[in-house]
Amino acid sequence: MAEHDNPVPEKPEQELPPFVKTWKQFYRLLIGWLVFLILIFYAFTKYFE
Amino acid sequence: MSVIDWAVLILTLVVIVVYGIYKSRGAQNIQGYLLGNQSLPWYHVCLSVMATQASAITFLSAPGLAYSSGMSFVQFYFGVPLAMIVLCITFVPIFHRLKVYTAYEYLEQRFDLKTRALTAFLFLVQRGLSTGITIYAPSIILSTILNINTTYTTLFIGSLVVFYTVYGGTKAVSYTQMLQMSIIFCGLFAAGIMVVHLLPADIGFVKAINIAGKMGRANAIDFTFDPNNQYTVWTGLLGGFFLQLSYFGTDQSQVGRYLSGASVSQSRLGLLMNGLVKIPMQFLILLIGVLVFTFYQYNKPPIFFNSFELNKLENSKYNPELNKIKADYDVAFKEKQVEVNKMNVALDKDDKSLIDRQRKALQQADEKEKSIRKQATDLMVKNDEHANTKDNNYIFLSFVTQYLPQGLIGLLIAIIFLASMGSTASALNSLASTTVIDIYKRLIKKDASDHEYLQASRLATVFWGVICIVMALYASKIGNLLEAVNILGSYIYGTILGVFLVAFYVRHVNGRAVFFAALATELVIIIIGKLDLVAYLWLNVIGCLLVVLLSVIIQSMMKKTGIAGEKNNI
Repeated sequence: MAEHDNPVPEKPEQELPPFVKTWKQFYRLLIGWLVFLILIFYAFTKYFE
Repeated sequence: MSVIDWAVLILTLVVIVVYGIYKSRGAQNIQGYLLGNQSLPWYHVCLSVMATQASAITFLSAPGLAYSSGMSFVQFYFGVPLAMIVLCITFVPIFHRLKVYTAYEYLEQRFDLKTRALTAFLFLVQRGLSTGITIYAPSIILSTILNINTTYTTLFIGSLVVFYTVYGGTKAVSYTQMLQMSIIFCGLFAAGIMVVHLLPADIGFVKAINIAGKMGRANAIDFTFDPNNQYTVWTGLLGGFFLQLSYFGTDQSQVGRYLSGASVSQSRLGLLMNGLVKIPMQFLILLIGVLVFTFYQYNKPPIFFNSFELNKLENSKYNPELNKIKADYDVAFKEKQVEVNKMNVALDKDDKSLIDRQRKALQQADEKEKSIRKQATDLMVKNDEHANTKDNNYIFLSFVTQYLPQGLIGLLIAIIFLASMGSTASALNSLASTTVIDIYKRLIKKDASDHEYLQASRLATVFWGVICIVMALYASKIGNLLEAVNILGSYIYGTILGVFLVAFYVRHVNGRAVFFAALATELVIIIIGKLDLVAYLWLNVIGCLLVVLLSVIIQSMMKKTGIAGEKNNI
């Protein structure tokens, strides 16, 4: 473990993410968002090509 | 530029620099200078992470890329959300728990000193070189406006950024980046509105994209599996994922940003929000480039967007030849405009066969125009073999300075300055962190006082500033700046990421095995890259997987021969 001159006290890590109940749900939301964007961009490409 | 534009530009720069210096006051120790006392909320982390990645290069090159080859570059960012998730699950909690200053510190705890030194060295090389390019990008702006060589403008910008960065530590960088990103969003929105406003009355937003789309510029998605195609969904998801994971997880310029978060949750949330916003933001920047492309179908673009190079040719003995080429260019543009108008009519009628016919006619007209432009660039090389014949980075800039109203020009140019200052400040700060924490403090002077390390950090920032300015002076010979930075990263990021993944997930591998695996991989990557065997994004995947594979093989060989070292369980 590295030694530092001014170690920072440990902060609590129990904060929950906004909008959803767990971090796992937030990760799923992000993956869903990515899939949605790819589909939207695909529709964009097809429509305007 | 008008007086109003200069006033807006100077005022914005002064406010930001003063704000940065004001916010950096009180950074009296190394912890405050390099980590901002780990006190920042998630939205600070998010904007800081975005500002570090979205430099002036993003703002200059991306619209130019969309103008010349379409929107496929957006796929490059598809790996961002996935990378953010892996970071939040693995990297962030470990780095926070161990209270490290740099990502490479962790590697000594997990492996050994030489592995830490190797990855720190690779980072310093990569970031040192690419920051030079980051400084060069905004210097193009002054070069175009003042019509002087980029050498002088690079020196001016570089010095300004170094001054600002040496003064401000991580906290100041983060605070100014938050302000910068807010201004950037407003500026982007205003620029988009103005492009549409400047189009002919019968060309609305949708039709403008439609016309550009018929000329191959709305190609946001490509599902083909061609390994030599730089931008497809697959290179973005897989290659992009590895590149982004490596960039955000192992590049100190980013690690330093989220390590300044007040807690694991604040750092996590900042990164995940970046994953939500990054792709739409990049899409909108590219869309502006597409709209500018349509704008130039109705307004004749210059034969070459870099006015400095064009002026040089105009003032040479080749001017009569250039005039002939310009005359041909004028005719070709008029012919193309006729075809564009026919396409407009075809779109109004929604006549599919006519649209197809016009698409082919437009493509031919586009090719003809490109071949004439090629004649002009050939002439530039004939006049000066060192002439910069790439003008992608000047396209958006040329549009801004020629067509946007007074005040907005100054604001948009200020934004490019601010974006560059933000990302360069992060980079210099991280280069200083790595130099002081991983090299100076670890290998040269272990027991210095906190004040000495603080002074060493400031000196290291100056040192890297000078190196980056020198690199920036050579950047003018590189084509598209954005691609150049990413290509350079791909040569190194995969290897570093591989080392970190072995550290996190392959617990039985020790330092010696991963060290030699990294060296061998870097050699292979350089050979593959030089032979141009695959699209550069794949180098990240190959590099990463090769390190993991070779580490396991070398470890098992060492075990058989009885020379396996001890492993740490961190």
